[in-house]
Amino acid sequence: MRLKDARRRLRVLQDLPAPRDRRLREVSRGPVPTPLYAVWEITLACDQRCVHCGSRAGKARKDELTTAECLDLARQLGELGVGEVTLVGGEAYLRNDFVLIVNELRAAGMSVTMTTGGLNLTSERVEALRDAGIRSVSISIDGLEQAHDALRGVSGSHRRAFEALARMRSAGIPVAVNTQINRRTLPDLPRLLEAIADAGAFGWQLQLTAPFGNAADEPDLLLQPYMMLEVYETLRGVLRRARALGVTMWPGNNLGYFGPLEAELRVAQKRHYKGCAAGRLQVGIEAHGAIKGCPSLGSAQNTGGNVRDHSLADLWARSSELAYVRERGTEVLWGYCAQCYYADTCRGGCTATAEPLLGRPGNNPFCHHRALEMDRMQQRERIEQVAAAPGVPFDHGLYRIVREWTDPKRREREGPVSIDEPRVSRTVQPDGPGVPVDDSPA
Amino acid sequence: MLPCPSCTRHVLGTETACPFCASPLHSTKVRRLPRAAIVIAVGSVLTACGPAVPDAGDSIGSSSAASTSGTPSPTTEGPDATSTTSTPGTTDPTMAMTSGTTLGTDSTGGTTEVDDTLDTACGFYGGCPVDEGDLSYECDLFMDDCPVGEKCAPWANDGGDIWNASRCSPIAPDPGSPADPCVVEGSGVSGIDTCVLGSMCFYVDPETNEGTCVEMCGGSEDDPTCLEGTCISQYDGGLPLCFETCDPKAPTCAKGESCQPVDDPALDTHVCTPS
Repeated sequence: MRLKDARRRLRVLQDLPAPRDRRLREVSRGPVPTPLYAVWEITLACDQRCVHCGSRAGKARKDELTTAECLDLARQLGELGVGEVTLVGGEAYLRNDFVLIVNELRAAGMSVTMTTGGLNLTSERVEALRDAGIRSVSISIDGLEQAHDALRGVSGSHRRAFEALARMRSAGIPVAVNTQINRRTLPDLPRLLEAIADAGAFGWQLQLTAPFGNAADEPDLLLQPYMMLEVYETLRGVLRRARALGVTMWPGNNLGYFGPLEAELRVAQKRHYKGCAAGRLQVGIEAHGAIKGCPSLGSAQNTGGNVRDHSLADLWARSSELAYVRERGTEVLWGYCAQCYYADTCRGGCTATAEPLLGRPGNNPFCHHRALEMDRMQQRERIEQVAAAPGVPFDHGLYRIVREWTDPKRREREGPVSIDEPRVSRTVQPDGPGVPVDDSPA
Repeated sequence: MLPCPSCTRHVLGTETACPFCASPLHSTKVRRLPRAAIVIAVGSVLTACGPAVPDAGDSIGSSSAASTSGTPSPTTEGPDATSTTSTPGTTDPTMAMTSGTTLGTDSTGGTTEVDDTLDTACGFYGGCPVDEGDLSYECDLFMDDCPVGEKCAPWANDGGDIWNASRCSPIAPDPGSPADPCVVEGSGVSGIDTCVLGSMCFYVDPETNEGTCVEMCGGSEDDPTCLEGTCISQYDGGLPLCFETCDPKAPTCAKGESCQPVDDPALDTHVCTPS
């Protein structure tokens, strides 16, 4: 299908119902909540080669949903009560029917947003998005030009991302920016904020680069847990500057938790982290119809099934994989998280960060509160890779957490304070905190 | 969870002192007490910095880890306070300042704690809708997490006439309870009025700035509660008030009231309104 043919099939926006959003009020409070938000990878095809790409995007999946299947799924999302859908890829615009999907989601009563690298977001595509009813677009910009182009694997992609931003603003589409925080981008954040504010971005979403997909192969790119202190010192200045510039800061699910900046960082999100939303308030969809609790989760233990085999409503309500976060309590926590003051609310933070790191959720060293407590004890935590990733979308390797003294001399003299070895997968041991990999039955 | 006014660290609502900086905290439990108790509780809050309403069923004693495991410490505490808290090669239960002591103890009846699981955060990848970015909530309208002597009030922060934000406003001396007459400062959307904590001045006459105190919803945004009536959250959460709902075709409102549509045109809801 050509893009211009897709555009001819668009319904007129004025004829569509007013869209809901993810703050929808009429939600079920029973054991099966209403998902407020869906993130939908409509293709794995991508025009960039990001060294930190969680889905290892590049080529389209061989069995991606057809246009008709996508439109049917859009209607199912509406019937399920979803308020907002974000289209992602790969690169969503590489499917010419992406505007039909946007339009169908709108017709089903939902708000639609899109996350893009913007490399080839041409004027024609921008106009089509606008006509289809897109609400806003978030452009992925990872640092200043040198860092961004290196991370994205395409020379000139930084410049073209900003050109896409300007193009969308000209078309009247509100634009936000999302940025991954890692060792390459952290020093760039203050200057990047100035650049995106100048370019007219209304919001800025920040998230840590998590160790899955391509990023699993880049241990030197990942932050060390003890660097959360430095991250938040940077964020302190950035937050205040963003307020002055009128840019709304939005921390991603894996940026936290409960440090002194928590309320300021999450001021527009009811002021503190509420725990991982995977399978509770959020559903993730892969391009071939696999349904997950979060778009960033991988592996069989996180995939509830496929909409080609079951309805979305059935998968949402009945699959144990989607219900995992919904039903888990503090019994799944281990390591420091099991003893944390915030355990009952936080529950180990982002599942899609903790599980790929250590093989199992429930222990997450990428935490400001935790880094502060370690620092208070003159200790710190770092991660060491112990196993590489196999090389498929959303896969991961394994790391261990080494807790050690901050003072280099004491560290050298006394060695580690403790070590959290990676734990067995939930496919091996579904419940509880699991056991260390080395202790698992052969 | 509420941020400590002194150090901004979030603490459980059951805490009487911040486990991170040791500052005394006041409770927010007044929101679910009967109306008469609200007035009494406000009096307590205004006259003391301790917990507003001591609760026999509370778990403060067991949850104040800081007081049972040593002197509460700021997070930047020096080495002396920490040198014995960790043993190489072990997982030390004292390694967290307040570790493992309050879990499961924050669900005592009557607190405004917990049940705030609805995270409307942008997703991991999401582009955030522009209208969410425009919201400006200085305080939580449901939890009333303002300093002692202030209340969290809806107001319009853009000069308009629609409630789109929240602010901490001073509680007036001798404030009015729900259904009492009240006066607003400036306009009906200023957020400053003469109503008691847990209520706001509504139905304001723009000529006289006089209106009637209406109960604000308690509980949490996704599980609101009202002492009387039903929580109607207008203007996308910016104005959560308790009303008696009614059917305009068969109104059952009390004498002196009529069944009228709510202020927010986006809602198809009717409520009993003073005539």
